[in-house]
Amino acid sequence: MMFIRSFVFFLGVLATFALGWVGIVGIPDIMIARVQPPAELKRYTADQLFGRRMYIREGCLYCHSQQVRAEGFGSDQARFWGRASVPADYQYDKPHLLGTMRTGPDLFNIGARQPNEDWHLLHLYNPRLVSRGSVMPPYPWLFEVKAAPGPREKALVLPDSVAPAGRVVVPTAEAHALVAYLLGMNHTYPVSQTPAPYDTAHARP
Amino acid sequence: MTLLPAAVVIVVVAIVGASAALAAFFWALRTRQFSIKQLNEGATVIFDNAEDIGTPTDQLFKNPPPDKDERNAH
Amino acid sequence: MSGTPTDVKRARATGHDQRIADEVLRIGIDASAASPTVLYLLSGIAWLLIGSVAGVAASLKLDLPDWLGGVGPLTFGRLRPVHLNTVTYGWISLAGSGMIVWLMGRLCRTEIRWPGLLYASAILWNIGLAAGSLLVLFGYNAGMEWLEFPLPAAAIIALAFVLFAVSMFRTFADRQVEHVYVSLWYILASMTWFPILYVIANAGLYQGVGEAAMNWWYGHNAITVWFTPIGLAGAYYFIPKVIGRPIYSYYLGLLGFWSFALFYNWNGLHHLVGGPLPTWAISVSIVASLMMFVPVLAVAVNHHMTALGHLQSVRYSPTLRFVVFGAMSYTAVSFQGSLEATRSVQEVAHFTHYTIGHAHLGMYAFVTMVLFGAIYYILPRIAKWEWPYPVLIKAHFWLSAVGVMLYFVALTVGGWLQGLAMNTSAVPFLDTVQQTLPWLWARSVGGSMMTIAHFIFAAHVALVIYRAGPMRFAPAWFRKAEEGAAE
Repeated sequence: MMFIRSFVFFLGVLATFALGWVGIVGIPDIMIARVQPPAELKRYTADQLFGRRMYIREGCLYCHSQQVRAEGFGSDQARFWGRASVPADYQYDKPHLLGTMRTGPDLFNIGARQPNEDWHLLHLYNPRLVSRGSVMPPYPWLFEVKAAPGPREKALVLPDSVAPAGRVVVPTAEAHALVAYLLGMNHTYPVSQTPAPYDTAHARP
Repeated sequence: MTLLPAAVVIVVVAIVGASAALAAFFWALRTRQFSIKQLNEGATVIFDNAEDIGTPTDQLFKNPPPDKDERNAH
Repeated sequence: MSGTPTDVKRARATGHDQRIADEVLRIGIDASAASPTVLYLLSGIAWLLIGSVAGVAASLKLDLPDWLGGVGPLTFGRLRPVHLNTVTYGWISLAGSGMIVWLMGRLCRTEIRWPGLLYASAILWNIGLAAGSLLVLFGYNAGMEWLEFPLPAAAIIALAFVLFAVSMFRTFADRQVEHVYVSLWYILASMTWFPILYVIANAGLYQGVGEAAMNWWYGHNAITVWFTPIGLAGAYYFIPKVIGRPIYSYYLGLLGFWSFALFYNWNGLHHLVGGPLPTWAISVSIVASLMMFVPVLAVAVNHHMTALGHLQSVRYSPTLRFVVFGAMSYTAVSFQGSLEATRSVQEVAHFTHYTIGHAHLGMYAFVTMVLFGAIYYILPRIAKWEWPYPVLIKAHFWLSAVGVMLYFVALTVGGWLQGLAMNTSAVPFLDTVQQTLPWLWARSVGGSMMTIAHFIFAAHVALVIYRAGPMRFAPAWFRKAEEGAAE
């Protein structure tokens, strides 16, 4: 009797868990895995993948999302953050970096919105140099302070107030990789099935 | 995996699962698992003869506070 | 009534013997759980201190972005995951395990089996947490929220959990009581669910948006299958035990448990409302969130109706004060969560600090407060030493309670305003950032109050463990017994 009761209990516990797993992870994943990545979606280069590691290492995802919502839901469209994102856009992403916070703006199309490499480097060195009032942390360890830039290196053009006296600030390979990744964040190509504009009148529970 | 085999698997699993749930439900009914009396007895298993119902246990040492007899008297 | 004086005397004697027998049995059971429980609780409290300091530091980093700006391992994006992982997998998990070990002995009415596994588990768990935190600080974040620890650290923690669960299931199998109490349902379910969930989530089975679905299924289910059951198991035991009355309705307890298991496992995808997922899947999660009203109401009626007739006890008993505060927060956070999952609210609240306020209402004002209450009950019984300074308990309670409320209100209001501003495309983005700053300062103040409370609490725990301070025979109540006695 006690044994049957325990058996039924654990059966129920496992069944409820499995139902949820299959229902909201398994079935959506089967649907999404069948989607072909768009031809215009480029695979990450080795440099960009390294930059993506930097993006994860510095925890960018805790303040920046990488998903654009459809017309009529929030103001993503009115802010020109790009067309609504679709599962196909993410087929090369592992781990996914969709994000849940917008302490900073969405970065799904940052490469199209701000294609200037120098801006990005300066912004990473100290965000408040180019973006007054930002609360983004500075990342000085992605840069080297040295006497003179080496061959094929380019020093940051810093205002006198922050420039180290008599020395120059040169981006490391990590900074260049991170910027390469950000510049590659460009999902402006058309896709066949963008989500329909949000039907505010009917679909909202 | 194409959708058809996946759908077959899901339907089979659903039938098996639903049957198990029904069997468990009828077992519970037959063995009176929902009996209020049984359940209310269950609620008392956290008490024993030393810490029985009616004894608050929010103090470590058993010497009653000086007012305990007063409390009962009021 | 009708017996001779001798019968009455004998009956009294038998009653007395039974009382002594039960007392001896309970003391023996508590003693068998004592060492592993203390090991878990103290480890948990150590991680609470580490995690609180990391949390306050991360919060201050948003107020003063250039503070310590040159130190890579202390940047916001590394401190934040360390805070989350140390307070959830460190403090709540370890302190919760300590509470579970102690409850398991009492509810199964038998000594803890295979305690060696528990020592090994607690030590491994600490190693996994230390390794994971250091790896994240020094740049090896695995990349998904709630799953930041790289595989080696996660594997150690999974192994530690399995060792813990094996000892607990062994004890359960040898139980000396026919009825399995409602707290045990939650504990047994969570010890079945959590290892499976944690292994699936860390196994790297998914990619792209499928992985995002898995991520938030995990993120919410870790709360479903581990953190919430800890809080509910504690509340279901300590409220009736301290008051000395069985819970209001055991039938509602049964309904609450199974509806909890059925609906809560489908929660999660509402974290991705508006995102690139099949809309139906998100809708299913929203519906499941709303269905959570059923188990939450069942639990709320049970806990609050049990406490309602004994509000005086809540005034003077520390354990009850903390646990009832936690139970009330559970009702509040669940109602808020169900409404927050809907699309209308998510349109504003998603991507803002509002969500962070909600998370702390659940993980702190509910689970952590219940755990504090549990520790105030358990530790004196293990150390045979009453809490020496009730004023410290009072300071702990008020700093924690006011701190978390300030935290919650600041982020709820600030986050909502942030969301409204973000949805007005005429407002430049940087203005939405600037607007949150006063609220984020208030959050830092609330977080600091909670951190101070934790250090007071830790010092008090140290006094009890070392049996220091004045020896008290009177209970460590918030008020003098005369005031508290008028039940």
